Formats: sequence, structure tokens, C-alpha cells
Amino acid sequence: MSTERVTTEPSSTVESSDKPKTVRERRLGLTVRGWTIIGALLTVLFLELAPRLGLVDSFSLVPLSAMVVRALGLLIDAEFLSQDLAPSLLSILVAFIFAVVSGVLIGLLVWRFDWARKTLDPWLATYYAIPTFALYPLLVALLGIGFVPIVLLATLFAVVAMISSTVDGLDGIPRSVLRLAAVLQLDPIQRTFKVLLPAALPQISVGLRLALSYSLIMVLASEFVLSTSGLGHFISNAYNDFAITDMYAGVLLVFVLALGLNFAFAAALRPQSKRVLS
Amino acid sequence: MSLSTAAAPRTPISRSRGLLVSLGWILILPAIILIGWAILAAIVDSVVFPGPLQSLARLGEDLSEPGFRQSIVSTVTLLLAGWSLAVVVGTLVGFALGLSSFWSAVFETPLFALYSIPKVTLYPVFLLFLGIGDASRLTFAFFHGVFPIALLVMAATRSMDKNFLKLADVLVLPWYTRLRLILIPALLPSIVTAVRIAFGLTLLGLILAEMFSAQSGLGRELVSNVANVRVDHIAGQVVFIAILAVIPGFALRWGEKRITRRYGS
Repeated sequence: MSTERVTTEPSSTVESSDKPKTVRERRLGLTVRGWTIIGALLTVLFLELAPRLGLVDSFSLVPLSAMVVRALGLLIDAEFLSQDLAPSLLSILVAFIFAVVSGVLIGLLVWRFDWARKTLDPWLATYYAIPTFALYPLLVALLGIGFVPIVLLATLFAVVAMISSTVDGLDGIPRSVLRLAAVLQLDPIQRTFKVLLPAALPQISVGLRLALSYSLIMVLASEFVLSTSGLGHFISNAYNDFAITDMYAGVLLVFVLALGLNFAFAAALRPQSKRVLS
Repeated sequence: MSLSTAAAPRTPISRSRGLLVSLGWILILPAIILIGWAILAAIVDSVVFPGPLQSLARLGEDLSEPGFRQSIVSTVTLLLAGWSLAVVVGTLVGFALGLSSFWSAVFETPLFALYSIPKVTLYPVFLLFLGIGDASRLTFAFFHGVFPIALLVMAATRSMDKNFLKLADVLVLPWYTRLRLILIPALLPSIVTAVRIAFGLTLLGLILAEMFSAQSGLGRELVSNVANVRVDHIAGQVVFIAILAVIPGFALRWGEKRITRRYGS
């Protein structure tokens, strides 16, 4: 039934970014990078000029320069740093670590035991159809507003991406590597840490990046909807107080944080995954 | 990573038995969670920690209320509208960009950036421009789901063999023949994956938006119970939302597997 296959990889397409072929090409005298920069400049110009020229009313959008000035001001404001930025970063970090440790453990379990795979496999692909965030009011009602429900929710959201990518990575280990581990007669712990996990690392690192970005999204969302501290709370609070400049400054900081973490992570993992692959 | 489907010849009987077996495996995890919840509730034995039966009874009460039913209708309508909008726009934009590897390279970075930022913090901006109402919720749900579709369809279009399109030009094939013979086989597997991913993201965006500020909707119902600490109502509604999401979730996954098997990926 299945005839020839087109080579596309839906799972990795979102991450792929290197296309050496197209770099030299030019359209209207500009390279890919040139157009990207033009696009960024136009966005900046629009955000700066639209409110100044009255294209958008100044209650809805403030000029970009005002956002940047306010954001820089917040970064030297001790109260903002201790009440908003620090709790967010701490929650993200703790949720990320929980999700990674438990995700890798559950992934090993699923890979090793057939019953675990049969039980969890149908849910791994369907899990993200469920709006996990609906659990947050329940967690708040049970545990009270604070650090614990936020971290729990973010861990629950991030862990499944970690499980899936760990299982994918382990499933992709060549048979010869597994035989080598058998021949060396390693004990289970050595086998796990010296053979299985390093061999699955390229896939696991995809999971790490997803887990980080998912913990960040959930921490900010829970702070945003119902919380008393954190960057998300700062933004929703500013909105409720009609402090629009503060709100946009907060959003700007969140974007810088999210994109910065994402790209730093990608950069840090790239040489490592190459080393494993070669 | 998916379970291998039985290679044995598929008679209707073995197929339906296989379906029952996989349904059984699917139900184990929810069963474990329900039993664990019941045991935990029995041990804690407190008003603020209701068991599953009590929560489902409260859900039954909620379901008989017209206001709650109105919220269900409102959320489901906006979900279907936002989701289909995201699918149509994402597929068209992704396809148009993917036809040129140059323009897909230009737009990949901003699309990926928009995909990976926590968009919920932008929801107040939607409220400022569109007001508190269905328009802002719908637009936000759409915005929450559209980027992965565009990215996945763009990548699939870019990796499609363009020689087939050139051949179609030479043969002067009509558009519907091109669609049937070239585009659908090459793009459909990625499109169904994108449709499935977008379902979850659109629903998540919608629930988030409703929780933050809305006059109706399931997210609104959840939050309004928090203030009164009606934990049993919240738990029942969470179960309801999960069921509401899981059924299309499994249907989409099933459809995706069939299409991937048929067209390859």
C-alpha cells in the first residue's frame, strides 16, 4: 500500500534553521538576512511611529522607545527584581528541573517496560490536546496561591514533552550500541548513564528545549491569571491599573527573556549534539 | 515511537478486537488516576478535597444549569471558529511561503519567535484593541494556534519536489488534478499533524483568555468557582473540559495515523 516516501520530518522541521543553499541568493538586491533585518526595522518603526503619529490611540499602544526606557528602569528597580523577576525565574528553573528529571525517568520506564509503553503511549500524543491550564484553579483551591501550584502546573505541562523526546531518542538507538552495552556487561546504572542517555542525547536535547519553553509559558500564564507575584502578575496588574507603559515594558521583558533563553539554549546544545552525531 | 499495528491480515473481527484492546490500554491511565484520586480523597476526608463521585455529581448539577450550558456553547463555538481560521490561514500562508525557499528562510525566524514566546502576556493588548468580548477571545485563540501550522506546512511545502509542479506546468494539468496528484500526497501528512497540534494550542489559548477576562465560557466558570472555594465544582468542570478535549484529540491522532500510513511521511 505504501509506495515511495517523501523525506520530510514533521518532528524536526520546527527546529531546522540552517539552509546554506539560499544564503547567497538575493531578491531585490537583498539577502535572506537583509530582508529579516528590514522586517525587524519596519516593526520597530511601526511600534515607535504609530502611536506618535496617532495611527493608534496612545491609550492602546505606547511608543517602543517608552517601553524600552520603562523596561530598563524596571531592571534597576529592586522591588521589581525581588517581587516579580526573581519569583518567575525561580519557578521556571524549578519546574524545568523537575520536568527533566521525572521526564527522563518515565521515558526510560516507557522504553524498558512494555506495560508502561502500552499504558502511556496513547496519551503522550494526545496529552497536549488537553488544556492542562484548566487544572490551575483546582491546584490553587487546594494548595493556595503561591509557588507550589505554579511549579506543579508548569512541571505537569513540560514533563510530557520530555517523556516523548526521551522515548524517541531511546527508540532511535542503533541495535549495535545496545549489543555493545550487553557485551560490556555494564550494570543498569552504568548502562543508563554511559550508553543509553548519551546515545539518545540529540533527541533529549530537543526535549530539553521544549521543556524549558513550556515551563516558561506555564509559569507566566499562571502568574498572569491568578497570583500575587511574578512577571506575569506584574503585566496583568499593570493592565488592571491602566498602567499601559508598565504593561508593555513587562511584555517586552518577557519576550526578551523567552527569546534569549531559547536562542541561548539552542546555541549551547548545538555543538554537543553535533559531537554525539559524528 | 507509536505502537506497531498488527501485521496479520486484517479481518473485520480481528480489527474490532484490536480496537477493543487498544481502547482498554487507553483507559488504564484514567482509571489509575480516578482510583488514586478516590483513595486520596478518602484518606484526607475533608470538605475541601472532594472525591470523584462528589465532583461528578456537582458536574451533573452544573450541566443542568442554563448558564453553564451557555458557557459550553460559547467555548465550543469560539474553539471551532478559531481553530478552523488558524488551519485555513496557517495552511495558506505556510504554503505560499514554502513555495519559495528564499521567502520561507526570511519568515522562518520571526514565525518561530512568535511560536515560542508566551503569547498569554499579549492578551491584554488584544483586550485593549478589541475590547472584552467574543472578538478578542476568538482572535487570541486563533493567534495562539496559527504559527505551528504555518511553520509545519511551510517546511512540508519547501521539501516537496518542485519538479512535479514543473511537470504539471508542462502537461498543463488542471488545478484539481495537481491538488489530487501532487499537493495532497505531499502536504496532507504535515497538515494533519499541524491541525492536531493547533487544536490543543487553540483550546489552551481560549481557556487562558476566558480565565483572565470574559463574560462567559468554561474558563470563566472555573475562575468564578475559585473565589467561592467550590472545589467540587472545579474538579467536576476540569474533568468535563478534559473529556471535551480528549475525544477530538484521539480522533485527530487516529486520522493522522491513517493519513500518514496512506501517504507516507
